[in-house]
Amino acid sequence: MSMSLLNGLRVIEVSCTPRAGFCGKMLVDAGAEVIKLSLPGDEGPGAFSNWLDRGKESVVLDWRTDEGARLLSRLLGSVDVLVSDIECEGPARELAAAAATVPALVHVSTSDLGHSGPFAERPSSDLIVAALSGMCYINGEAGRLPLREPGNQARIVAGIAAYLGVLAAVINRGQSGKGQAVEVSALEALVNVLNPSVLQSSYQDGQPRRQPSAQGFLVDCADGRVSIITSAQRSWDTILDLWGITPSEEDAPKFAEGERRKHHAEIRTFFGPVLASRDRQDVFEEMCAVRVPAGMLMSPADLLTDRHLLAREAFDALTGAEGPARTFPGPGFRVAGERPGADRGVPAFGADTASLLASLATEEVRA
Amino acid sequence: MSRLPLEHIRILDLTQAWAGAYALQLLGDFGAEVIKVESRTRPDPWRGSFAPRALAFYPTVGPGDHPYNRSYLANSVNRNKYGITLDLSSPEGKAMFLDLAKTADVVTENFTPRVLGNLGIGYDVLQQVRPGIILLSMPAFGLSGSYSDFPGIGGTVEPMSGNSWLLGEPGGSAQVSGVMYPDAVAGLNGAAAVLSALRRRDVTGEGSHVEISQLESMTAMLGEFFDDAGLASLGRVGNRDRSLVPNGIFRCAGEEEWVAISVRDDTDWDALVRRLGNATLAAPEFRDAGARRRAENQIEEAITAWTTERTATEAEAELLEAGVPAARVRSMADVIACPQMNATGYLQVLEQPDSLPPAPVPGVIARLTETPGNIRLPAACHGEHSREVLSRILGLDDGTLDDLDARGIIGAGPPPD
Repeated sequence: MSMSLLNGLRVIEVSCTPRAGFCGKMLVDAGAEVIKLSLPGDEGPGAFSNWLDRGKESVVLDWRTDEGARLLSRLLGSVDVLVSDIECEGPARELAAAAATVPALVHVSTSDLGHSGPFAERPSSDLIVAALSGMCYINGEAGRLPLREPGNQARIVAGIAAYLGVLAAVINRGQSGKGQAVEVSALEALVNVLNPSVLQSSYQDGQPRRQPSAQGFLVDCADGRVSIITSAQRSWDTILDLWGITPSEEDAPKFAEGERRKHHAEIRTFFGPVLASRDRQDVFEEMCAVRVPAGMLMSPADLLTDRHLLAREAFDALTGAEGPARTFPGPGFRVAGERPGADRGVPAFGADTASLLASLATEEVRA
Repeated sequence: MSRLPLEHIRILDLTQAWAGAYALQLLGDFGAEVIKVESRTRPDPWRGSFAPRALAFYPTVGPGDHPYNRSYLANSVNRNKYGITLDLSSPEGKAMFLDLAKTADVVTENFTPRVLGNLGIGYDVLQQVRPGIILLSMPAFGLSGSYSDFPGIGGTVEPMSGNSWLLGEPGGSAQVSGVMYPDAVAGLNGAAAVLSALRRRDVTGEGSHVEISQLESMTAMLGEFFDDAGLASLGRVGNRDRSLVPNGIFRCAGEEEWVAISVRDDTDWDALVRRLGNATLAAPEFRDAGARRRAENQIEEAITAWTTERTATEAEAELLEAGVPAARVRSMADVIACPQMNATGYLQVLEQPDSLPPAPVPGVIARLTETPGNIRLPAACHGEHSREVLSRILGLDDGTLDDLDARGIIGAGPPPD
């Protein structure tokens, strides 16, 4: 089962990017009923994502026709929230116009670069957002390739921002009785996330910039790598004591607080011999036991067998799909003591159309 | 003036550093009254310590006499909050905290799991003093499982989460982000968890204890990679995309000049090929993403040959004119000057603590058109609002506050000797 936090909340999602798609996924995870609305002809391979669309319902409706528009209007009147990507709201934003006729509806519309302003019409992508946000400029190594976060994280951040917009507006509706339109731009959301770097550029002229190394302090063990954070003086002193390492008096200034990051190569020559014969899991747990922050370098595949994540049931299985078995990371938050996720599948295209339209008709007869 | 969406919500915040502070700033932006409770003796680590430290988060003009109020890290994620100090290890400090909790809707913390209980202010106690209260806990590894008591920070969570494994140049070493990005992701999820629990309380009247595992919130960003038969052989992905080909950042003429280019479909591809004037790429077989995937190295080399002959600004303009998604890689200074950010009023100039000059900051993360959030308060200085908050909410008089201050239970800056 999913979380019970949003039980009873009904949502229509009209999406073609991970912005609205991830927002809808979060809503499903938290217990809302999410109906993914598609246009006829959008079916086919890739219509639904195993990652984003698990647990959603699928309704197909051509809301560009008169009859479809009438049904859309009734459908919107029967739900709490519409979340959409601006790219699929119609050439004149017909979907937004329909939403505006339902006073109690919360409509969160998402874009890459903004609903208005000089960039609104620029062709875009997740990478374009990341490049414009300043993120690529600080990821990677000085003089080498600037990097976005792996995958489509600019748009996922926008999806989380849209979720915040949905809930803030729904909570506000609980007070005022009124819905409203909410706009989320992936560019704005990512710049919001990067607020520390934005302020750094005012506080420190010319900063932030990519550093000569972006590898942090990863050190080799027998079976992989471990990241050990020695920036705090207590952490550094603890490790030297634990492993019996004594830098020469002459070298000591290199290893003062604030200096250590410049001398990772030398620190590796201290730590390397100690760690070469040890397993990363063992080193990670030894460091954590003495309160030194450390982390194993894990591949996505490694995570699936990590004992901590298994104990927390942090992955959910995809059900009902052909091909190899797959599991996906669960939600980013949970109710304490509960297992948040759910094994679930992707709906067949249009699977819920008939039942939804029938329920609308029943409501109409009652009315 | 319109009401703020969370104007009726009071939050007592015990979190430190980035993740928690960011979660609470997001909620404060939507109008919640956030009271950031700091230790009297050890300020939030993102402030540094009372004495200046050899770490690089002070302004160029220097740490000044109050370095703990001059960290750009702390000052970037603590706007819209009241800053108070309370010594929670003293009986009086704890009693005042619980008195405040009696009036609060939400308490937030990011200690390791046992700490709150050891302080005598765990969820069971909070529920007793305030039925329906919501507690958000944000430990690095979650409240359960074998790593739950381990310390964690962005720099260790990122390698654990799978993000570092994927982040890097294809064929190159694993990297960490230029900022402790998993903290920000946990902050987004923390705000989402609180809002979800508030919605549940509105419907059922019941409180909740919600938790973030920073590790899991980061891994949740990588879901797309788990839908891949090649999961076990994944390495560094650079800027390549699972659907768009090509999708990359390319070196231009000049130092640190780069342009990002995405091809979303065959129309973009045709426009790019025409602009590049490359006869080889014009071959009809490349009007297929699968074929382009197989020739991705060759295509990226051809694009680089073109981009390195112009500046990033020139490349961006030429590509946009052709209709190809393109963007010069912007620095933070460029972001501050960005026409989009400024024309839409997203960047706002905010007063900075400790006599530092005002600085542009991003606005509210989602634009509610009827009841928009706003920025009401600059980042709180250490203990800045102790007296105001304890007087307003608990009704303490000046004499009592003077006494608490003198004994180091509340106050601002280094504690009395």
